[in-house]
Amino acid sequence: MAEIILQGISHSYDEKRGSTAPNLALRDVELRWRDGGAYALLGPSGCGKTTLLGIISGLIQPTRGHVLYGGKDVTMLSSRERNIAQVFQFPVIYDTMTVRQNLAFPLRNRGLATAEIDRRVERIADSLELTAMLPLRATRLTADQKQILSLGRGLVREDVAAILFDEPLTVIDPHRKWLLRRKLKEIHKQFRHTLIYVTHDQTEALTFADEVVVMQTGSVLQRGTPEALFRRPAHTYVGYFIGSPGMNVMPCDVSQDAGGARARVGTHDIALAPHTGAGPAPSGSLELGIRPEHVVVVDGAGDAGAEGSLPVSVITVEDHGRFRIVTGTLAGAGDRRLKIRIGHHGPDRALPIAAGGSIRVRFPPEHICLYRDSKIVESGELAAAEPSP
Amino acid sequence: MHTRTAFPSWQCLRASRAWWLAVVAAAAAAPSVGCSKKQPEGGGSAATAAGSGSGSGSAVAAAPAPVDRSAAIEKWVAEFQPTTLTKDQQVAELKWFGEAAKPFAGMKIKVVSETLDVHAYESKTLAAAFTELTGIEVTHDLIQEGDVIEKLQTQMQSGEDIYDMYVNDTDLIGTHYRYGDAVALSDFMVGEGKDVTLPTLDIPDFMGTSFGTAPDGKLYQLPDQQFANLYWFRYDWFSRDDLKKKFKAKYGYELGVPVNWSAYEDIADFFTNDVKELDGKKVYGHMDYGKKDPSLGWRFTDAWLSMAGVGSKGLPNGLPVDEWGIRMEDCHPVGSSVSRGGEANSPAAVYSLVKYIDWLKKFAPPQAPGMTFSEAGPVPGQGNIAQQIFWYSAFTAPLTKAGLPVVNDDGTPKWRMAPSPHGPYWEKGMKLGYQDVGAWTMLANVPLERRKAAWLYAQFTVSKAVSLKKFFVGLTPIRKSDVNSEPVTKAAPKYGGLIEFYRSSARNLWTPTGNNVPDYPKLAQLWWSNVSEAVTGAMTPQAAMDKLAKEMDDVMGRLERAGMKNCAPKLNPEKPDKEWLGQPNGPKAKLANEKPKGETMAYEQLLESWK
Amino acid sequence: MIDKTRSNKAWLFVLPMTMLVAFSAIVPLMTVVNYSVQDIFGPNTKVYVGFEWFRKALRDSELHAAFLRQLLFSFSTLAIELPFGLAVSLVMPRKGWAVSAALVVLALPLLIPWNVVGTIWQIFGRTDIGMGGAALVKLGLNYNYTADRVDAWLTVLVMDVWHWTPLVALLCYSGLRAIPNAYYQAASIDGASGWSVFRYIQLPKLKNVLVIAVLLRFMDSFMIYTEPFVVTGGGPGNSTTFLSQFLTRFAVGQFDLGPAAAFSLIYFVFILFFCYVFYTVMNRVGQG
Repeated sequence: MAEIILQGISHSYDEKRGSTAPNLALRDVELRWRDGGAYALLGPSGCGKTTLLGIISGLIQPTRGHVLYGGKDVTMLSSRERNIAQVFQFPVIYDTMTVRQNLAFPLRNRGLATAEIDRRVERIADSLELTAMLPLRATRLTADQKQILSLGRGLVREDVAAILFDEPLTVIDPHRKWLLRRKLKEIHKQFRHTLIYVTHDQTEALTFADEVVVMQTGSVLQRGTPEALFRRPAHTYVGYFIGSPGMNVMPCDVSQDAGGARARVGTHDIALAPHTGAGPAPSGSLELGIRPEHVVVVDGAGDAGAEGSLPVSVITVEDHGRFRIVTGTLAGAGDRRLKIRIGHHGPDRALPIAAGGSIRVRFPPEHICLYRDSKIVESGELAAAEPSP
Repeated sequence: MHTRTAFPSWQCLRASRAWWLAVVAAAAAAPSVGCSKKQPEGGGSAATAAGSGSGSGSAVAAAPAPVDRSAAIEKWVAEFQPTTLTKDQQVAELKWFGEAAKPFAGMKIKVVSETLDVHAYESKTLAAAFTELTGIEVTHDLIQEGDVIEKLQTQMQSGEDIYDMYVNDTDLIGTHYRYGDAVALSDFMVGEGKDVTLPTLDIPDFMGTSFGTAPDGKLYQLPDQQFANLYWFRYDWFSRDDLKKKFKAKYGYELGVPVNWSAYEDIADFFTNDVKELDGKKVYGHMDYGKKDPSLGWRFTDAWLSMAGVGSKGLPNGLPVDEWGIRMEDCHPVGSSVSRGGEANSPAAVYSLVKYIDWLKKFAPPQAPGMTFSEAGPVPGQGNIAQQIFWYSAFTAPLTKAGLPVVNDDGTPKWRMAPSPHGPYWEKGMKLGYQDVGAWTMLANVPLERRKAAWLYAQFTVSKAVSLKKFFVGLTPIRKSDVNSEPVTKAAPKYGGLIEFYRSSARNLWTPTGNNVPDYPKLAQLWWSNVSEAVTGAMTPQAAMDKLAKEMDDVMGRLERAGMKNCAPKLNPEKPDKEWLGQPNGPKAKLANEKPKGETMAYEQLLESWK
Repeated sequence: MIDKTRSNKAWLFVLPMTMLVAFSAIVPLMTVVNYSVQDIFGPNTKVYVGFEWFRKALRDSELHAAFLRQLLFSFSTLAIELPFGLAVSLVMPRKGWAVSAALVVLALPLLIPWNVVGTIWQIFGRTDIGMGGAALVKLGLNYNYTADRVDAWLTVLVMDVWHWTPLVALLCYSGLRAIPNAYYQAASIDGASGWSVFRYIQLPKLKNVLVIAVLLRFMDSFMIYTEPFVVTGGGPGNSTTFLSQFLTRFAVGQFDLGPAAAFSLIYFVFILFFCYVFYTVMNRVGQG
């Protein structure tokens, strides 16, 4: 087990190591993972997460940059030499062997004594609840059991540096995915290996990992706990990708005066959170983001009067059982769609919202995120407003 | 060009026999069917001269003008030189063909033969000449010997007209006669085919008509080419004094043409093991072939057994027992095993097989056992073989090519051919060697008109007008007049003794397979697989011949059971061998001494004795 | 509930093909059956013999010998070609231009007409003009494939291996290419040796391909005709006369239609049997 550091990793599949290549799969990735954590690499297809995993595992040698395990540069070492374990997209097991033999295989190759092998195998099998299946041929297991078995092969090596998962739930039936996720969490709690989990499914990433790294087109967009990613996405893409549905993003102008800053969306002014400092107004294309969950419906009646509320014409209302998704347009802001998520509990339950009607909503300033060129504007960056046109 | 009722060109495709039969049935005039090309005539039905067969002259709308072929005749007369005819006689013959062919002009006929030089000449030149001279289009196919037999069998079995005439070895005379599928040419020539038979054909001039004659005395096959299986030797080496001295010292008699197998064996041993090398090259006293291949069959059926001495006296083939060991009584084959009175597994037959194997292994080049007939053929020409006991004179031309190590600078060969030596069982009055006679054979299932047209072509290829020229191309004589002619006398030195042989009386001892064999294709096939077992030692020679004789008797028994049109086999009951061995006209008993003293004759002496 | 109407018009579409098959397969087959119970010399010379040919063929010791020889040959070639072809496929390159080059070189023997293959080896093995034969003789070996049956067998075997190993190699190669890289990665991570990789990953994953290779090669070698015929003619003696040559001799050489027809029906039954085995095994493997 070790701390894993990625320094300046860039990779292009077209060029060999050491050259400056145009077509980069990864751009200058810097990451540090502490020992024993559970991390997820999340992103859409083609964002470079599988490449990154390959670089970490030793399958790929990066065109530039270094990989360090516990301070040691392992960039040029093979997978075997790095002492990692990997679980693949489909179960990779040895068909001709029994479950026991599968688990014992890595240890036999390292020349351990039989007694020691048996001890470890039984211990891991116990943790993974595979003990009853030890004498069976590995092919008799179900897909999720096979993935657990693959995991087990990694776990039997007690000195394994990290366990890497490459979208391991791909071939698992949906209703059994949760079994595997639960097992992974248990294992993590028990053994505290460094786990790195690559996926394009936000649910998997958010439920599994302590920290999630969101990637897009070869770069890391944001890294943080699931909660942080949810509350304050550092990039509009992160906002869009995480959450169901994703964050509402709309272009705006920011103006500032003694009363505070406000954002103008269409014909509406929206109050922004108080900030310190003054300075020139932020330039660049500005966008305002707010999650559907954070939009507050003021009153179902739609009559004006609620101060600072915005009128929304309702287009559709989708009933998802425990919550409803309301899609509407903000009057005076063009055709931009706004999604609102309201639950069936609490005050929202009784709100009569119907398609074709109109409602009034409020954007609580503490939940508004401001973005310049897609990147979040931190508090303290907002400067003095220019006179609005 | 030619005036004709408008037949569209696709009719060409239809001018097959099916169409043709329909037309004949309607008794339409022959020339109207099919499309004709070059000849600006089509055969006017008006002209009848030599007769145009079946009631011609009516149905054709247009009567084409008679064709003047004198230009063509002149051209071909120039090509077919030399000839034994005078110019007028030759022109007359060629003209006769044109006249006789009038009813068939435009017909397309197909004939087939094996691929020999002489047939290649026929196919290429004679066929073209015939077409020009008569308007009958001839396609003369050249295929391998085995395939000719196969096509023949197919035509016999199916009744389909594959070829209109065949050049087929007279080995099949017994087969054709018994199956009744071949037309008796002697009857045809005075009967149905009278108007298409060349007046100057001169059958008695042919060498070998007896080979194509069946037990009923009729001629079924007319010879087109022939070559003999003779003894071949390096005359220049046999004339060397140093070698003669050495030989005489060792064996006690002169080195010369061997008269018996003992002498041949001694000479073979001498060259392979004593002389070993001449002019820096390794030499061998024997050449042969032994690969398991159908050609191994003819190696034996082409009279190897009679050369050893198997069979009764009688020419052209032994009666009652022939060189296959098949006994025939009246005209019925009665068996080939000794137990039935035959000689196929007799001591003499076994002796012939033993000697063949011995010599092949001991005296021939080491690759010889793995060669087929065609691979072994060119080997003597490479210059390291002293003698060969089984050699077809058809190889004369290839072995006299300029530049070969066996040919002198002036074009004369360093080698000669001579009558083969005979084995210890041979007696005077028996045939000795094998003559391969390819002969024109007419099958009865071909429609009459087509047979007539094909018969015209066949006669053309053997007519005196072309035969001498053809001889010079292929070196396969068929007419006595050719062999005795002046141009041939002049050319004789170039042919290593071929002419001398054919002029001598010795040639009568060289005959093809005869009437005793009831089904040549089926019986011939039994030989090569059995012989090859003996060659490898998988079976003893006696066991191999026993098996062969039994298999032949089985086939003859089946023929007896199925019945044949004429003279089917009637197998004798089996009796213990010793009851037959040594009987007069029966299989010969084993000789106490199978290797009498060697006898040779000087080649010059041999030539003298023939004069 | 709607009843599906029956339309028999579809049979009309099948008719042309039925007639074609009838002409090319059924009618000839019936003719063969007809011949197999007769002794036919010519259209007018024939007699009904019942099952005589079948009895004779099945009792014929030469047939038994040819059959055993055939089995021995088939098993020998399989025993050599399978491991050899597999070994070749393991060392073939996986990427780059070398892949195409290797595939072309391997495919060359497969493209040569079979009788030419026989001719090539026949000449190659000759001790006077053949490179192989002459070299062996120069090395002091007493090699003569026309006279010595062991030499003849070896020559025919080597020729068959040369001719057909590429097929096995290409099949195995395609099977190997189909193995996802993840397996090799996992094996590397598990610290497996090259032999372990072969034994636990490659060989099990090649099972289907190997089954196909075995069955294809068995069927082909069981029917082998031209190559040994051209090289040895079935000799020396009968030592390389395999089953198909045995039949051909009857049918084509001797034109002995009765026995040939009977034997070809027996041969047909053999082949049907092997096809059945093939079919069953493949199904089983497919399910597994």
